Amino acid sequence: VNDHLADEVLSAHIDDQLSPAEALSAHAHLTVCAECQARLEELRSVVVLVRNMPSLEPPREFALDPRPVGAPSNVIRLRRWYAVVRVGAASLAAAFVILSVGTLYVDSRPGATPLTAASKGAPAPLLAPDGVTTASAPGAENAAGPTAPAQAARQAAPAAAQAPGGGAAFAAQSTPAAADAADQVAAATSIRPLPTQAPTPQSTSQPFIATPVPAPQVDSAAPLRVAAAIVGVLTVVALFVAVLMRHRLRAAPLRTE
Amino acid sequence: VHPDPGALETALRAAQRGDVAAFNTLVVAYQRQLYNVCYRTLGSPDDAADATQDALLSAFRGLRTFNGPASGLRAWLLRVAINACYDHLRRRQRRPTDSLDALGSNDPDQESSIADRLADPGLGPEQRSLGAETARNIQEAIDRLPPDQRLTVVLCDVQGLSYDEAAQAMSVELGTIKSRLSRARAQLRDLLVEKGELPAASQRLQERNP
Repeated sequence: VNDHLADEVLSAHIDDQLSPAEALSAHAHLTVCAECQARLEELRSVVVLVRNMPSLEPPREFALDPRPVGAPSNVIRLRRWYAVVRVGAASLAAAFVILSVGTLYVDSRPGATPLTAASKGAPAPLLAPDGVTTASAPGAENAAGPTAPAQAARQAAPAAAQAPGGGAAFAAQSTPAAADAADQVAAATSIRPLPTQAPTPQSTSQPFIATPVPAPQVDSAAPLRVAAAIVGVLTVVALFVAVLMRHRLRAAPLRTE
Repeated sequence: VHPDPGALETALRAAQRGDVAAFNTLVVAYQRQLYNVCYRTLGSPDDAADATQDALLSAFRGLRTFNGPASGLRAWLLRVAINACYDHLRRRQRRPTDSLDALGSNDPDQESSIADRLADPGLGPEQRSLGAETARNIQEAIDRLPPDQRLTVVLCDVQGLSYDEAAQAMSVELGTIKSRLSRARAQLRDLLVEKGELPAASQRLQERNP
């Protein structure tokens, strides 16, 4: 009776937001204190008045117009990254073409070691510069070298990796992995159309061959080949990411371009 | 109008991916409540419409940051609307000629337009039972509350939000809602007694216990 209930207690009591203990003591006080009871009723009538405030009809529709709204931030960000990735993929593809052409040019110079080169650099030329991965069937190289002796073709077919480097611009190079040196000579000379190349391809793993070409052990195109391989892989990855992003952007309904 | 939860969830996810049409279904579901919160807070139909539009625009732009379930969307949208209202109030404070008081009883145009709206024949029967005069007096009393108390009373008593939802919408603790609401109600009581909207018995009691 001494302590009247605070407004906060009365207010919470109206909303049943008192703890059980608080509610009990509030109730005990209210039963004996007419003044607090009157204050409670008064506060309750305030709440009733405010709760009966009319809900107004909005003066207009607030639906958003798609055009001036623009894309949400995530779509804008995705679009920006898509542009970056697209340019990156194109640059990588261009770099890959340049590196591939460079590799083939170095290989085609006199004194180059195309056999070792081709066997080492097999993964890189498998990638065409447009990013499409092509793997030629062993049978295809038989068609490329129709004049090859039957024996050489037979031996070359299962083991060799055919490399159509630089697209269709370059003549196919056959890479027999057979141990027989004579067959190698026969296959290589009959298939390779470039007259400037060494007549006898060298293999460092064949020490018994008396070579007419001086110092062929150094593979001068190796760094280029490695770079081409790395750039080629990056190109494929970048193209893949670009395709994924484009798909994602297509899925987003907002396209302001 | 409470939208079906499944449809709400679908529309929310689509809107988060930037689908304006999907977002507009959310707008239709919530615009009335958002507008009313803004109206009761700002006391002006034009400001309320502006604040609602601002709120919905920034809600759309920031919708991706809302990662809760669709059931929390109403409180989240209300918070965005509340922020828009605070922005409007701040802008008003920077213009002394357009103060809060000017939007109250001193502006006859304002008053009549509010009265017109309150007499809207489209309102429900129990809502119409509150006289236009009484409603205007309550609105004026609400307008005089400090912004924090005003928003709390608008959310809890005008809009009927639970303490929890109001706390969520205002990003404050439950206890803050409790105390703000009680202070707001006490002040409204005093203002309404002053305006003669509360029974005379209360007035006598008020004089006995200042």
